[in-house]
Amino acid sequence: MKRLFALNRWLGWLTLSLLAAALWLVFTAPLDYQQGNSVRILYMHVPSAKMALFVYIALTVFSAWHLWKKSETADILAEASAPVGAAFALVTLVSGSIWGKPMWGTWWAWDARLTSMLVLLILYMGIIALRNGIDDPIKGGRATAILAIFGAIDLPIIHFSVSWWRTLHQPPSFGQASTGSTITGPLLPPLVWMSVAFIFLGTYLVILKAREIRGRRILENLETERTSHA
Amino acid sequence: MQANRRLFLILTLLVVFGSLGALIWTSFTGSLVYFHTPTEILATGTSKAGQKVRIGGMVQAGSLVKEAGTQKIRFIISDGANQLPVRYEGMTPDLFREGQGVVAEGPWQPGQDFMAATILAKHSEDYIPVEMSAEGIARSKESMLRSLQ
Repeated sequence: MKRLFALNRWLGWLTLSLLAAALWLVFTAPLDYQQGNSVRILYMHVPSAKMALFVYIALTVFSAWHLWKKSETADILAEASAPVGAAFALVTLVSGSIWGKPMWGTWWAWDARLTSMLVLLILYMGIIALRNGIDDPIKGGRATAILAIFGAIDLPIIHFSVSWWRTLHQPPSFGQASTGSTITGPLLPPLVWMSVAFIFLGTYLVILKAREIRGRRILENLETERTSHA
Repeated sequence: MQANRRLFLILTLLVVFGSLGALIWTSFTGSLVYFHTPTEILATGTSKAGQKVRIGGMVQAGSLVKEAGTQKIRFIISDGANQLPVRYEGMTPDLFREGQGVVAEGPWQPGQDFMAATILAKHSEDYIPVEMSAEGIARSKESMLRSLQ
C-alpha cells in the first residue's frame, strides 16, 4: 500500500493537468442550439454521475473482498470510497438542479432517475453513518460491507431508469440511437476529456483518503497498546 | 452520547431502506412513469376526471398562441398520434418552445382544454452545436417521439 501512496502524488499532478486541459475544452466548446451556455453544466454533471456509480462499484468489490478474505487493505479502501462517492453523488444532484431550474423550470422532479440518484447519496451516507455508529471497528467494517453489497441493487436501477420508465430526465445519449452518440461534433470531446479527468480524480481522492485512514488506524492501535501497558 | 449515536444509526438505516423500499414498491405498481402521453390520457375516458395528471409530448409546431398583454398562452401537446389543447398562465421555462418536449401538470377534465397549473420543459438527449440548429430540430423531434413510445 505504501508504494501506492508514493505514486499518488504523481497521480495528483496528472489529474490536475488533465482537468486543466478538459476545462479549456469545456469553455471553448460551441453553444448548444437549444440550451446556449447552460450546456456546459453537462460537463460537470455527467462525469460526476458516472463517478458516483463507478466508485460504488469499487466499494462493492472492496466490501466483497473484505468479507471473503478478511483483508485490512480492502476494508480501508472501502472506508475511503464512501465519502468520495458521496461527494460525486452530491455534485451530480446539485449540478443537475442548477441546470434543471432554468431549463426544465424546476429544481427537482420525483422521476425515476432523480429519485434513484438521491437514494444512492442516502446509501453512501448510511454506509458512512453505519461505520461510525458501531464501536467495534471489525464489526463495523463487516456490517458496512454487507450494507454496501445490498445497496448495489440501486446501480442498475439508476442506469436503466431512463429506459425502463418515462422520466423528465432525458434518455441516455450513448448506445441508443444507431448514430452512436447524440452529442454532436465539437460538443463531445470536452465530455470525453472531463470523464477521463474525473476517473483520475476519483482514484486520486480514494487513495488519498485511504492513506489518512491507514495512518489513523496505526495511531489508534499504538494508543490502545500504550494505555494497556500503563 | 452513546444513545444518540445509536438513534442516529437506526434513523439513517430506516431512511436508506425506506427510500429503497418505496422506490422498488412504486416501480412494481407502475407509478414511476413521470407523465402520460395524450394518447394514454384520452384512452382513460372519464376514470381520471378531476385527478391531477401530468401529460407530456411535443409542443406542436405552429400551435403556440400568446395573448397580448398577459401571461396567458395556448398550445397543443402532440405525441405524434394524438393531440391535446392546453391553456396556461404564468412563466414558462427557457426550453419551452414549439417543436420541443413539454410536460404539463394539472387537473384532468375530459372533453375540455387541459388547464395546466405547471409547465415543465422536457429536453431530448440531443446536444448539437448552434451552427447545426436545423439538423438539431429535426433530430430532437425524432428522439422525443421515440421516447414517448
